[in-house]
Amino acid sequence: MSNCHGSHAHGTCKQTGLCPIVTFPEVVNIDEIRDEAPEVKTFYMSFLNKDVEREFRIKSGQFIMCTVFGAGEFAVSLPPSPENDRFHISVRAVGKVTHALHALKPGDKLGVRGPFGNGFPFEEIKGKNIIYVAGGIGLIPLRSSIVHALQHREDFGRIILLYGARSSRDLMYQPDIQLWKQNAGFETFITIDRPEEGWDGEVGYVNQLVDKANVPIDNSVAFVCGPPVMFNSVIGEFLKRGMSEDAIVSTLERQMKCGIGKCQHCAIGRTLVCTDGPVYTYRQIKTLGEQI
Amino acid sequence: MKLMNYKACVCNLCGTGCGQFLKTDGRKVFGVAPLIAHPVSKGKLCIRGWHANELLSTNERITTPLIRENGQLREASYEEAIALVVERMRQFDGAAGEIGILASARSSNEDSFALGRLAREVFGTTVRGIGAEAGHRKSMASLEHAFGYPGAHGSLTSIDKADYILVIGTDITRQNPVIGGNIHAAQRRGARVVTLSSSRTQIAKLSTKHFQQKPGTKGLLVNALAKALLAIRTANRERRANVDQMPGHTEYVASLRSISSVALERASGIRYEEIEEEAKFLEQAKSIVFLFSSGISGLDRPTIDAITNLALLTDRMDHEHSAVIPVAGISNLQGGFDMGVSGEPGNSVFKALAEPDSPIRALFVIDHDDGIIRDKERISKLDFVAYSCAYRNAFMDLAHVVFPLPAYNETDGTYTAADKRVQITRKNVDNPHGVLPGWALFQRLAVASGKAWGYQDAAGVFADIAAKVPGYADLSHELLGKGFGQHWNPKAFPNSRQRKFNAINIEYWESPTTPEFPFALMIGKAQHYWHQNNLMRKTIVPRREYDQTLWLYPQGYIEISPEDAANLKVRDKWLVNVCSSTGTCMKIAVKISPDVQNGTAYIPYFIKNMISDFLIPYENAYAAGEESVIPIKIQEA
Amino acid sequence: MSMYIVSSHEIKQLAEALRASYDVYGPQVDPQTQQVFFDQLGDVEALNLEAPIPSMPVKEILFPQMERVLQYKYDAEAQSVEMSKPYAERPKVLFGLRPCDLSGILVLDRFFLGQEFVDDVYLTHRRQCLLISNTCLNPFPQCFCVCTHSGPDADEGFDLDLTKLKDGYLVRVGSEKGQAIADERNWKPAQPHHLSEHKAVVDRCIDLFPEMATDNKAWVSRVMNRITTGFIKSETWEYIGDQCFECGACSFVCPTCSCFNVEDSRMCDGECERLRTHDSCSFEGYARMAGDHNPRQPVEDRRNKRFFCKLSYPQSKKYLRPGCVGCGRCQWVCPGDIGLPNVVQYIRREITE
Repeated sequence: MSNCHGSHAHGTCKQTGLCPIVTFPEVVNIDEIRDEAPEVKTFYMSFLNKDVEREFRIKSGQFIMCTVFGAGEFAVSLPPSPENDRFHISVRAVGKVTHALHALKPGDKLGVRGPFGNGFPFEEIKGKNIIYVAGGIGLIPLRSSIVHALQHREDFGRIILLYGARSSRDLMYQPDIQLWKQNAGFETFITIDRPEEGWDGEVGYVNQLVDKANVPIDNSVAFVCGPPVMFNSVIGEFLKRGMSEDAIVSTLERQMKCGIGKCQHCAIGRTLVCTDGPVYTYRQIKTLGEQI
Repeated sequence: MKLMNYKACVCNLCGTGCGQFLKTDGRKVFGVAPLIAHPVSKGKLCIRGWHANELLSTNERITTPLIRENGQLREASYEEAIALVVERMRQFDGAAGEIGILASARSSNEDSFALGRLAREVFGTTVRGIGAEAGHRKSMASLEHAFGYPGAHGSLTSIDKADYILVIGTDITRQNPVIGGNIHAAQRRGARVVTLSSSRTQIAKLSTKHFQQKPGTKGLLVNALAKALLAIRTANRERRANVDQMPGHTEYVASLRSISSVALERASGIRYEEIEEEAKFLEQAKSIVFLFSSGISGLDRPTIDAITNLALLTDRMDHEHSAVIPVAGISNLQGGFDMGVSGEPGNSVFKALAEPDSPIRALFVIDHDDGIIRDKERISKLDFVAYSCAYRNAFMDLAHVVFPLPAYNETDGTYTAADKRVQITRKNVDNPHGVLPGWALFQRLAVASGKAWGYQDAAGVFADIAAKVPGYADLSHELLGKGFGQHWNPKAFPNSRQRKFNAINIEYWESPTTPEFPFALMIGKAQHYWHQNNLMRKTIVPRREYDQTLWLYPQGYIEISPEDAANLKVRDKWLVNVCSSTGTCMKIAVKISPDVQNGTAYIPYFIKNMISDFLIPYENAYAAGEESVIPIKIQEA
Repeated sequence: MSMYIVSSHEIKQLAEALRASYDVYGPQVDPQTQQVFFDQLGDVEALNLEAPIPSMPVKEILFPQMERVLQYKYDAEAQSVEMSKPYAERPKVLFGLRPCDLSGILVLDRFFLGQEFVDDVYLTHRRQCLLISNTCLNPFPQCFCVCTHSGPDADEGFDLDLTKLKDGYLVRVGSEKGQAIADERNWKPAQPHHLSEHKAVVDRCIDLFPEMATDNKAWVSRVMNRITTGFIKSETWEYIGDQCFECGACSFVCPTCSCFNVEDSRMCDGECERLRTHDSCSFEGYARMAGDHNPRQPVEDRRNKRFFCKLSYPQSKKYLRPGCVGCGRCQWVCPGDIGLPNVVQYIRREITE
């Protein structure tokens, strides 16, 4: 592909047809930082190299390798929609590198490689209902897909979001959710684990929302993302109702050092999450042969 | 023709003394290769040795002398820093015990020897000690009494040939993995490998026989084994004139006879019949190797005495493949003792620091692990502290003057492994900052104080060592450079032909546990934690492996058996309160391990509060090392 | 494919001539320890084509144990960054590769260059690289390349291939690059009898393999089948896991192990470097994720992963051959007893029991 960004890329990704930044990080400026939830911040950024800025394309469900200069590089899923959305990442401070990221200010620079990974199967699910199920920061990798689906509202049936978090403070992307709700036919069900003063919404775990929402099973796909306990109970609900294992889709997280299928840190059984994933159907996940 | 990029040396990361190649261009170290011809390591290295390149590439080095000024360390020239140390040290009276020396078990023999001279001839002090020496001093005392010289009997290479190997306590595949591997290989070729340990360690799993005794009874079991051995000989009407005539034999035998099989079983959980069976194998063996850990978490003196006594009683100690080896966790602990910088009860720097009314006012310290600064408060109140080390660490915060040292591959030096094997590492990388080797620094201090030593190089220092240190007389840098080192010669000690039994007391160890404090807590080992991680923290992969444990158990962990966990109604990673009978408490996560006996618990000694808050109030437990047992209760947090 | 018969002297001349435009690496014996390394030649006289298999795999040159892959300086005040690439391309000759190490390079080529993405660091080291292989006349202790189709002679991937015969070295040309080098030299073409002598030499070498190795030959594929399908008892993995000392040595000396770790570290002067170091799937922290989750904890699981990588069909598809090249180095360096040939034995024992 002739429009690949300069000499840093090494050909195109066969799966996505995109031209990721493979080897040398491209520098981005942090334009704005928002507190998203406790320990979670969203970083809005733009590439210094305007050619790269113009040509940088992503797919929902992909991730980038982000360098915090002086601390290291980490893999992070991409929440922005592939179309008409600000380039940003949302990151919880969990390790050395992400803590260093949280200490940065607007105007600081980061390095970016990617995007990598297969992304969500959008073409194949046209005409279907989409059920998004997320727990806590599990909404981060789904955000891109939700915005994208709403941008192409006419391509899908019902679009439902079932979302749960520990407390109302832990709910991600609250302004976005308000905005999404204004879309016709976007159904939102939100719950928090324990009752809270000033909270008049649902209380309990996400799997209980499956009934509340009266989710359609036929002609539906479920995108599920969250902690293992939530993941397993929600999938149980869907399977009980007869949903096919191929219709349940999730994105896996693994430690990654290279993003391009070389370091092998993200190997699960026979698959490399960075190049074969991170998006898998439940049927695939089940046969990976390792704990999730 | 010498290789361009691979240089042979000795791994400096534990007391095994494995052969190692460093891949280097003379400026940086890029990799490691094992040394196949090395008689002990035979082409094997552990995770530490394989990652020495990461340690040797760290940026956390001290690169220049530093002087504290207005509370901050600032860079200084050697001239200035040396002049300051000399001037300050002059103000103290070494002979009156005002100056202490804290040596390092990682220093080369040359550095430790020169340090000893500096202490005596310049500072005029005999108050001294080596970091982490406590356990080794007990081993040395016991061995010196038994064999007539303070050092291991026999060679680590005996493991490859011996008929019978007894491993007492130590989690050797974690602490000295290459020795552990050699034992495993011996077991595979048909040697009988027997492990005594209260938890099911990896070496226990790989042994022919594992006695999983109750805590605190290793010595008793070793004595019981001696009793059973004696019984076989009596039944066979066999006399061993040379053993019978050794001083202390009568008393030893009398003590052994007093062991009651009922009391033995009650205390240790092991039946005497099992011991009798084992004694038959021991009696048949022609060559026997005894191994135990020697260092901060080593055995207590009565247990070591039981081991050396049993070794003498077997009457196999003159066999070329027999050995009694206190396995040191740190590279040159033995060399430090040989060079005379260890503290004896009368002049121990640790004692001086611990006693509030001791006269100590100044301290000269080499490479000390900050994780175990036992008397931090006292040290911080001293009038003057000088510290020398290759790597940055928290001990610098306590120092008024700091000197850099070269890394082990940046200078010529000899190191004495656990089995007295003296080996040389030649300089293969130039220190980029022109740092002086330890011996040269100490000589500069001596010169500035008006003493001339006249050493030209490390080989010259070693020549002096050969002239003055017993056992080293036949050795030289030139000789050591030819092969893979040489054991120092025990015959240099006049008592080396007169073996003696240590006096023992048969005590049926009563568990200090009570209904209120029902668990016997011991110090456990953990993978990837060595040297209080002062060095491993500066690597990449071993540090990650260490962090891994803390990722899973960020508050640290206490290992208990699955049954105890069920009774306590706790699950893996749940937080519990652990309280000792003296009232110290810590909050820590549960780690359920099938390798742990019911009623026992282990906390790895690297857990932050373990030594400082929890263990140190137990002075006796600290001194007892591996055998220490603290009664605790475990409650939901 | 052209073939020549060349004297030892001409081989040295070739090495010397190549030194003018290449860094030449080859097997050398350390005089003090007698250990063999495949290292850069300061002097062609040090090149020893009869030395036993090098103690470290040749992958060290193309994929070193520790390498700086990025250098940068971040100015926090100015909020700016300068980056540079610290690794550089140098033309090199790997002179006298044992066939197992050549196979290892081919596996690494397929892995680093032939998958979805190209690894730039490896490509940089590999791009101008001339491969000269050297047929083994005797198996060395622990060798079992006959089981893994990677020796004792090379059949693909070389530019030039050497086999020592009575009259000198038989030089087989394997590429245009190799032919160009041959064309520059006045070498005698080989005769048909040289080729049959070559075959005889290889057959003789195969006969010299210890029984264990030849006996394992058929077993390797049966074991691969078992590992691929997962029909191996957990007791067998446990038995293997109990003997694992978690040193990582097997991965470091394996010609095909390619796992690495990446870490940024700050230099004294504020410069930072990104270090890429060999890693091993036998380490507990290898798969650890930030947060509190390790999908692969017990040591037997981790070992399992490594043997799956070396001996399974899906992995072989990636490499176009088994992941193991039969060099036996893992057997030398393992402080336990779980070098790959032994693991084959253990699984074999399980099958026959």
